[in-house]
Amino acid sequence: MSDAAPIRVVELRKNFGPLEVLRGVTFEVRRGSVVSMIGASGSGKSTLLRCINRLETPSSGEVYLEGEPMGARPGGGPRPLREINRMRRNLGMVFQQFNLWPHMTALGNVIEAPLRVRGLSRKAAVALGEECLARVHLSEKAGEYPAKLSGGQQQRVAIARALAMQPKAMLFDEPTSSLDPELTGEVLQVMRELAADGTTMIVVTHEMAFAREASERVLFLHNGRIEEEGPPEQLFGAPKSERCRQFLSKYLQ
Amino acid sequence: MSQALLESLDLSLFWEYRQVLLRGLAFNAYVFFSAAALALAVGLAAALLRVNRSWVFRWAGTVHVEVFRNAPDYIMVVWVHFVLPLLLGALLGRRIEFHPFVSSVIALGFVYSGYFAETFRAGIQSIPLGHAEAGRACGMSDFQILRRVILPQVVRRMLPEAINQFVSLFKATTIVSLIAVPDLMYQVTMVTQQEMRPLPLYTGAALTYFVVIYLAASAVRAASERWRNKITA
Repeated sequence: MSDAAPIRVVELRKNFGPLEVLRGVTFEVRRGSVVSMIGASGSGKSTLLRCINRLETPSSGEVYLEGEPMGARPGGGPRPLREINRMRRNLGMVFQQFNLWPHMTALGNVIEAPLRVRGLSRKAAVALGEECLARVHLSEKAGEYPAKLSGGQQQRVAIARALAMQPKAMLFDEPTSSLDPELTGEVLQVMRELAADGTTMIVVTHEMAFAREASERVLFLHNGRIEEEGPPEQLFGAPKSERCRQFLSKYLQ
Repeated sequence: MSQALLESLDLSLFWEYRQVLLRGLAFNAYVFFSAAALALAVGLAAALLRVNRSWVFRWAGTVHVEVFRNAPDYIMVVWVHFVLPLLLGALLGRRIEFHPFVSSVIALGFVYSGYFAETFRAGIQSIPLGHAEAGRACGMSDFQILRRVILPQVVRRMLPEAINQFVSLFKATTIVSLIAVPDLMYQVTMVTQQEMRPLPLYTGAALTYFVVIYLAASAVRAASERWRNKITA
């Protein structure tokens, strides 16, 4: 295992045409720690997450995975798509809309990338897939198609699918935002367990309770910049910036 | 009842020639399966052009679709069989001739590729973008995403419409008799010239096509129902 931070983001910027969505974001995630990103919609949280695993190409700045730049080759020059694909598997991504593949069973979803991308044998992939489904407490649903699962179950399968790549870090993009309130609990519970197991995680969320108790650090994004950051006790207990205070007052009252 | 009507209902003559007619029907099937394979392959390629990021590719795909969707299949068969070899021959400086079977497959395959392209395109665009992103996030290549994530869903969604297009294509195979592919229609015409009794022969041919197409389409529909519905609960 390398000593470098699993994820280090340096001066990341992203424009969509004239619109500046990220205006120079720099932060680091320590191994085994959870960083939560909060902020109003439009503040750039999701774009930041998508730039980290390069579903969006940053306009400038760099993301380092264990010290290795995502966008540039060690010798200089941009990294070709094939190599970016290869680096991307080190980051598991969980989406707001789950994005399970509906024509595959739960287990099928989980073992697809281990089979095709990592080249595991079917036997090894199934064993790994079953282990990942067990971690999200869905062993008994392995043979079900997504359409037969509740939203919370679908999201847990999506988490298992990301875990099956045995990534160096997990990225969560508002994982409970499209769930009914009574289903968010089971997903957050799984995420707490992952955090307790020492999984490195970046979580974009509106679940302030989760951010407060599960994360080591919280970033408050505003207008494409990190407006305030710190340990949750500090950020939630005594926010320094006025904007952060205003934002939190809407959630915590 | 009039004599003519009775005659058209007496299919014994059709039955007498069943072996030669069956051979004809087999030719319809050969043309159908070959043209369908070509139409699916070319149609998929054109659909991928139409959803490409670059406008040049999109434009090329659109031209393909419009040209072949708006060309009557009869004219295409004749054009491919008689004109295309002349053009190619002039280009390559030697005499070129297509076997009627080859001309039929090329013509029908390309005409129907226009329809299949649109069906594929609609199917591809109906798949949520997130499904491809999830694949990308797992490190899958574009080709793996297409083959493992997008196409299996597209095929399920487009199947009902595709079955209708396959039916049209099978019906269109009857025009290949015009360039002397010995299909059922061709054989019927030959026998008619000998026997001088067109009514039972053409009626028999019409009924045969109806039964074959109806049974095949129903069977495919029924067989695919369960498989398709798994993804929609």
